[in-house]
Amino acid sequence: MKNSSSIRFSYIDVEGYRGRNFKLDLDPSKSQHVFVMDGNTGKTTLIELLRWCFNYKESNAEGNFRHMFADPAHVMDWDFPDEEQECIIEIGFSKKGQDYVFKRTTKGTYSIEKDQEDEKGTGDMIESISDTLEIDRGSEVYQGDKVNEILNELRISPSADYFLFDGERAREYMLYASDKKEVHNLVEAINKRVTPRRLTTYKQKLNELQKRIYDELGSKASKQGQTRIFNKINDIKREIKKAEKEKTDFEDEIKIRRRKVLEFENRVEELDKKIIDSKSEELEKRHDLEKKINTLKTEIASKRENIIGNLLEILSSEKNFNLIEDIKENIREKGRLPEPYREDLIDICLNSDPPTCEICDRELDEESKEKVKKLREQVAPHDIQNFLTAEVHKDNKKYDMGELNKKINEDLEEYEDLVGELESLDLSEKEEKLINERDEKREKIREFESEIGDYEGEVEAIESLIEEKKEEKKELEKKSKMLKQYRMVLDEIESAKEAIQITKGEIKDETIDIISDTLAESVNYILGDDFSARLTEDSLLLGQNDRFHREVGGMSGKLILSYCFAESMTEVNPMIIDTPVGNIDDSVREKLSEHLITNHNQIILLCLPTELDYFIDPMNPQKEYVENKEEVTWLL
Amino acid sequence: MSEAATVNIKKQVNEIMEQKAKKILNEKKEQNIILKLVMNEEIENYSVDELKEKIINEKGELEYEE
Repeated sequence: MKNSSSIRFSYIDVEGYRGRNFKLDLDPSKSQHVFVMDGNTGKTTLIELLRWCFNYKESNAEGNFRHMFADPAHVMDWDFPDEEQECIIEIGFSKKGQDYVFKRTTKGTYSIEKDQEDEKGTGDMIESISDTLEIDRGSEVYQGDKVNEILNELRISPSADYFLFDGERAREYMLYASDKKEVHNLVEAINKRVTPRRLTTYKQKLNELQKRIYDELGSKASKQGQTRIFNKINDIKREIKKAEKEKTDFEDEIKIRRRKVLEFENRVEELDKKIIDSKSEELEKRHDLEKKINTLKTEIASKRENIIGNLLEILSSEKNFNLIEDIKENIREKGRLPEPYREDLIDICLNSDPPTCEICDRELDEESKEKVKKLREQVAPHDIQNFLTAEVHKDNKKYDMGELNKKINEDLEEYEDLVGELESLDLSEKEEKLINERDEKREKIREFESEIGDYEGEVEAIESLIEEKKEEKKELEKKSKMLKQYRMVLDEIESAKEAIQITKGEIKDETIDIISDTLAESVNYILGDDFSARLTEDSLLLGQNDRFHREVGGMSGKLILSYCFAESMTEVNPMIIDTPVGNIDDSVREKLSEHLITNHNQIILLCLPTELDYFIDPMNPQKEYVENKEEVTWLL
Repeated sequence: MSEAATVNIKKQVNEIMEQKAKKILNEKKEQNIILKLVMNEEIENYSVDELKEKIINEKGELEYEE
């Protein structure tokens, strides 16, 4: 049975694993390979190394090698601690006419110290693990995690737990099938298996598209993001509504005041007429006079206050204060105010040649000169004289007190004139009332107009706010529309995923039935007519005479069921089996052998010498060569 | 020994599953543009904007929800 699209292994070469080497050379043109190996010669190791290579990508390989229940197990050789070591696992295989070479190189040392310190670890001090995959002798070469991606595409990695079969795996399936608590492991395996590859690919593409959209939009594309925008739009709408209400309220107030203004203006007009009609001229005059008198009163008071204020400030300045103190001192010393003599005049009299009185032009004799000299003692210091004669300044501003006083007096005179004039007027109470009412109305009009101005300002501010909010709302609506469009694509993706999910469900039941039927047929062939098998979503049971139970079949039957289950789960054709016969009864060995031959285009068996009876003959194996430098190896 | 029975284990499972999936999805793809493009292996040729346009053309623009 040959199939060029199926995978066929051509060699498996292990060098430097714990200091040991293994090599299995396979002839790709032949279907069955039987390697007869004693116990502890690397059968299980080989299977576990292959699982490690296929199941774990380069970046996740360290610490994930399992061996004989040790998890993790070491790869480096502990007989040569702290020495640089290298373990190379090379696997050659072909598919669809292409040759592949997978290679995992692990470099590092073994540290006894680390092994003793670390309870769950190993002594491996891994320096590097590197994977390469070479296709068609170097026409394509891949490295790193990409290697595992390709193994996935070739379906080697997802099937590694099934086509690499050993006692441990068989026990695992038997346990799953026998223990209700463990049956979920079977369910998980079945669920993976019953998902057609096509569906997984479609789902992957949909996820990629979804990621493209989220990358473009960030969190905004989420339903929550859209809800946030939608809520923001509603908030803005509410704000606009509130602002419009406030605007209407202000406009109503303006209307009310305008009506009042109009009403008052009419009233003022009426009053004006009435005032004119009732000797209003005199009333007007009196009113004007009263206004002027009041204004004058205020002005006079203000000027007085100004003079007093300024004088106090001038007098309280440090310079003037000192001068005043000097004057007071002078008065205390001399008992009188200083004479207003001028020192410069005395100097002129005494210094002229001959000394002459500058006032009477008479020449001064010695006696007169002495008298004039004595005058100096009576003369006040120069700066006191200056103070008495100088104009008052403050901050470079001249204060002419006399002038100010004069103005106040003029105002007072005018005030008295006005009062006199007012007293001369004779107004009736009725006329006075009219004028008062008119003035009140005018005042009210001014108040209303001022309020109208304020309200109009408010209306303008609100209008500008409304405009701003409308613009913001428009932008958000635009964004929301855009998001909605993206949302449509996302919803369509979700709906496509849902369709795939439903399809998976629909296919699942049918596929489980198909697997169940084929398992039944295979078990029936190997174990005999009484036996059958049944797979459901939560059980894998062997049946004898239509009685399905986890205790049916004994070890031999369960092992056969495990084989068949593994075969139904793998997606690649070869099968590599460690110790294939084990406890299987002699009576069914031949049938199992035939079953394996017809089910796999390539079967690689790592047998103990004791397993050959009743099992090997149907294989008609070619002689194969096992290279193992240290272990004794049987060759068929 | 029934060769057909043993072949069924892998071949039947794989082939029937794939055929069945294709049949079911072919019916569903008519209602979903994206699924149709994915199944026809055309999805990579479209930008997100083009997909939006295509969906709007086929389904019509959604009204803004007040």
